[in-house]
Amino acid sequence: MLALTDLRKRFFPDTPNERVALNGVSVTFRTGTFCIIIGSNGAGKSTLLNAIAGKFPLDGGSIAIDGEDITKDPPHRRARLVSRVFQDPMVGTAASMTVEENLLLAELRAAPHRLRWGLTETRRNAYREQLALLGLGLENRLGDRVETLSGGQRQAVSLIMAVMGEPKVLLLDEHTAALDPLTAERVMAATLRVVQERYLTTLMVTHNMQHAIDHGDMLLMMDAGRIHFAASGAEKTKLDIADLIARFRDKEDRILLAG
Amino acid sequence: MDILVRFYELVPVTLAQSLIYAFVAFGVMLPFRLLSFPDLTSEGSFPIGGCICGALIAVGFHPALAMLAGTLGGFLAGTATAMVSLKFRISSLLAGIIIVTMVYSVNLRIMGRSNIALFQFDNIFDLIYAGMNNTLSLKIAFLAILVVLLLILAHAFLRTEKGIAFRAVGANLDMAEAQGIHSWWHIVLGFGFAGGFCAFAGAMLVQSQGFSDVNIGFGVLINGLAAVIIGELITGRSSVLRQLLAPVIGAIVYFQIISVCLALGLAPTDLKFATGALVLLMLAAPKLLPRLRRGEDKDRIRETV
Repeated sequence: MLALTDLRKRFFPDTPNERVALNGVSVTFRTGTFCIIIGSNGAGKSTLLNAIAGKFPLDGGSIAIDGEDITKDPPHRRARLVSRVFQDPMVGTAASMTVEENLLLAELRAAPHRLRWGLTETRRNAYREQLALLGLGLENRLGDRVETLSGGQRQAVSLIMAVMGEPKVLLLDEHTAALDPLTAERVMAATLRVVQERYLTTLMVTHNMQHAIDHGDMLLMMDAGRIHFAASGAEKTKLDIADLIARFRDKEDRILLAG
Repeated sequence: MDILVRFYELVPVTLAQSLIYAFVAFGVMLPFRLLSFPDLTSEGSFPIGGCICGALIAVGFHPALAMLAGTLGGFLAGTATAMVSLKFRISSLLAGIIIVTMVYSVNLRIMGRSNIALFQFDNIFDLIYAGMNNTLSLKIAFLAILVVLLLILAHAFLRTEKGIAFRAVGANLDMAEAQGIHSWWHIVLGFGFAGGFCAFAGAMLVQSQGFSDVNIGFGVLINGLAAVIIGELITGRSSVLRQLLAPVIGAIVYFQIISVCLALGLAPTDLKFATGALVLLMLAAPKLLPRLRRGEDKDRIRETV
């Protein structure tokens, strides 16, 4: 279970550039929830994921995973519980290192790094099996540097890495947005499979309204650092794209009225 | 002919010298390439190693103990740079300059004067094999063994779980932290070891040349950098082993180039300018080359850049 309580964050506080990024976000995700997060640019979606990953200290509020308060933990301590796939495949992998080295780092995310050989034959075989499931031919490229892979292949590696080391929470930040439609579908299919297999609590930010409708059992629409609209279970199933667009409109009308 | 003879006579001396400086080049490469943080501390860690070692030998310490203390001094200088840089969010270059400046005064304090003669004391070379310090072939063999040992240990380390995590910090800092790696420790220890290698070289040098001087560090960074860049030109950076070999091979080649320049009649006082120009040329080569070879094999050039 991931519990967010009254998260607050201002960037550039007390300057003319001050921006309220999170304005009291409280929401609880039951274990195994696949939650879609949508919202216009600057609504606070990525800030929310960054807050959970520990990229910056919060101004207020608390974050707990399975009852353990991680609000004050730096990113590397949270890594054993939280993993992430970014929009840019470059961000989530070490480009100048090989595929197998990247996978090893992911495998050891929650474990201490010891002074013993890293890439054993047992590990290589396990990695080969995992990569073969993707059907992208990556199982033959264990020893290649990640920078020699295509964007889609890199993102697939990022995804495999994110679910290794048994995290509790998976954060997906528009992770198919930079891919061509066919590769995006493949990565999305792989995502759904691993999320279901491992019963991971998953938060997926997307601008793709079709994805927002088709996938997930919970939906949050964010606006101005708050949760503007939430739906789960049967309510989420009933939603269609028109409903979501209307909710976006709704917000624009309010801005017009306020103006 | 005369020039050739002069150069030939210098080869062994230069080789011994370059094997000592290989440690400096290695210490320059480590933060620069493995951690992706440029570091200038070698300019301070190299002399602190020499000064501590020299001062301790002069008061009767065993050379091995003096070298260990010197190496530790360089290690501390390296960690100091990293900690200043990380704690106060100062660029690692500026942090290095600050530490180097402060270390200079520390070195003067340690030695009590600006140089100490060490001829009359036992040194590590003679203790290992009597007369080694005056027999160039033995000295070269001994230094070569040390360098090979360094390469084997470093290469083995970088293949362990800890070593792969260490490389991840340099390859992609954010990713490393997202994979649960505490980058702070890796950076501080990496800078520490880099400083230690430089200081070890300083301690070897003062014993090899028979005197310790506070100014031995002047220009050592540019020598190390030149060695790394020349080495990478030869070995490339396509594997960890090549990256580790680069500073060693580079140091050997670089000092022979310097030796040629001296044989050709370059005044020693102009050496720093020549080295600077060489490094500049190497760094500028990727920008200059495509223009020189316009239209010809452009893609290949871009790949090597």
